[in-house]
Amino acid sequence: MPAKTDVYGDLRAPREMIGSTLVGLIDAGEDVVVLDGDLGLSTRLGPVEDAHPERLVQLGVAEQNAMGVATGLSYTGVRPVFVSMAMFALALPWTQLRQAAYAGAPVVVIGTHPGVDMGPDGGTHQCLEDLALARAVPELVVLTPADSAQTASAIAWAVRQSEHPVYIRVGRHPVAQLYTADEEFVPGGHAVIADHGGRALIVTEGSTASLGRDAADILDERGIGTRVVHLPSLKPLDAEGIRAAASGCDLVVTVENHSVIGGLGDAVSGVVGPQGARVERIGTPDVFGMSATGDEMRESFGLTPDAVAARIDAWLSTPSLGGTAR
Amino acid sequence: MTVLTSDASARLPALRGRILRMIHDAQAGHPGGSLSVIDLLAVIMLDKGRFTGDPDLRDWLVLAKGHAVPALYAMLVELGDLEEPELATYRHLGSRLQGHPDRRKTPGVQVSTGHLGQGLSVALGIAMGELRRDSGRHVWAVAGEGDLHEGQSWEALMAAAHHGIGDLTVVVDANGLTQHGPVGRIMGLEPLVAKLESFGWATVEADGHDPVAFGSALDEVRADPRPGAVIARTVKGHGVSFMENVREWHSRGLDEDELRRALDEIGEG
Repeated sequence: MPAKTDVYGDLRAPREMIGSTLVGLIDAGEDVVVLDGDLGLSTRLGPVEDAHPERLVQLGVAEQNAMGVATGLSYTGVRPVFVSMAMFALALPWTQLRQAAYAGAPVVVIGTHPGVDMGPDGGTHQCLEDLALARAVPELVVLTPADSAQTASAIAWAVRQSEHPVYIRVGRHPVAQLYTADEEFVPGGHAVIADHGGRALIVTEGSTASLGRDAADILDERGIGTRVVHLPSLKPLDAEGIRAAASGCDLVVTVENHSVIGGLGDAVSGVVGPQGARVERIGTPDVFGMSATGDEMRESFGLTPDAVAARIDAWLSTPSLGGTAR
Repeated sequence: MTVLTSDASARLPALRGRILRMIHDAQAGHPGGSLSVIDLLAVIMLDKGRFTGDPDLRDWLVLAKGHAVPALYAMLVELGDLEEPELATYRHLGSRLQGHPDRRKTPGVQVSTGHLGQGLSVALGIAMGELRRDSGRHVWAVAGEGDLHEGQSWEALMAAAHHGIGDLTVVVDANGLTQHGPVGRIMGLEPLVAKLESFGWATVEADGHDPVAFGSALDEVRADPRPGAVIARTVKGHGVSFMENVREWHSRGLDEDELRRALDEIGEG
């Protein structure tokens, strides 16, 4: 059952799916062991604790050890899933995750509260760098599911494979539902979630997918037709799909709940930039976060549908400095 | 369980000789810590643990102090996982024998290590996984004092005791000398036995260069239901007089003359 604070009318926080999905996988016979660093309330591990307490291993506030334990468990055939906030699941034990990847250990790491989702806890806890850190690790699969249904299917995909280490970025901020539960998760593709025309291509990661869609709706009302793509994974990256979607567009805009350094914007630029596409990045600038509600943070950093639409409108009204995406 | 003789003892000169030749051929490596730990690996892997036969039934060896990998490669020749001539490729481009243990490249290497402080956590995870399947495969983790300078090691020690993981033995190669100087001057660790005991580990101290005494210490902590630790007092560069307790031999290659003199001293000349 989703926790009350994860459901806001039609909007839902994707983290609601973590515990219940893991319970489902355990019930289906997967040899899952969930590792918690004393944050199970925030990361929604309650269902595991209730249904399969023996599968929830408590390791306390010791994330470096947790990542090493996950590595060791994976060698014995167990499917370890370490769940924490992005800052503590990925950023804090980054070298331990890198060593897991180096060793070919198929650990599953779920990082919640990414980007500005941490809100009032402030700049210390807002992980604006997790995609940059994750993308830099060879062989690490980096998943960015967009909503509750896709979060569940991404977790299931990660547990059921045992070839790659996987980082799954799961939002705390409630978002619209874009996918259905019966869609099988396939890393490496892209999904066109809105298509009003080809003036601009808006590329989003999971926690900005519905934001991008809403911005495209606003632009459409102004007679500016744009196309919105969601990337369910940044590694592997669907380079061909992005190039095809950008074909004929005057502008490619990336929108990410993350620093403009090292994340979605850099990934997409690396793909369409060499073709001469004009790429503009929307995300948090090269600064630390601060205490404020998540909504206030989004206002501050221009991560709202109105702000995104306004910037795209302005860019399309100014002459291109680069070429046109081909 | 207790053996009063040691198969390892007779093999030590040959094992030390392999370490010295490897580091000479590579013109780089970590001779000091390899020579202090080889006696411990020999007893664990030849006398006490199960390291031959079906790889899926063997015990686990986690060399947390991964820079001492020449000692592990020397053991893997002994166990038949590697052939002696390949040792000459250690640290060379294209070799399966990397500068630190790599489970994906080297037959017989079970766990990749190299970042100090991370090995005990991986060993704990393996022990937890084996306990889940009741496999009886014991996990042996060999750490250096540098490993214990990393805070993560203490996270792992705390967690193993908290979860009552008894099928895990940690051996500390306490040679008293880290890269830059004596442990007591770099960052004091003593009283190590008392520290580990207070963390919930059955802990015994032994002379690491006395295979019978060290073997008895392993038996003693394994008989205890708690996770077990043996603080093995060793000498860095053991067996080669000009290397013993000299910090420069932490990481350094050997030239022709040094190799010849060292092999003479260990009876492999």
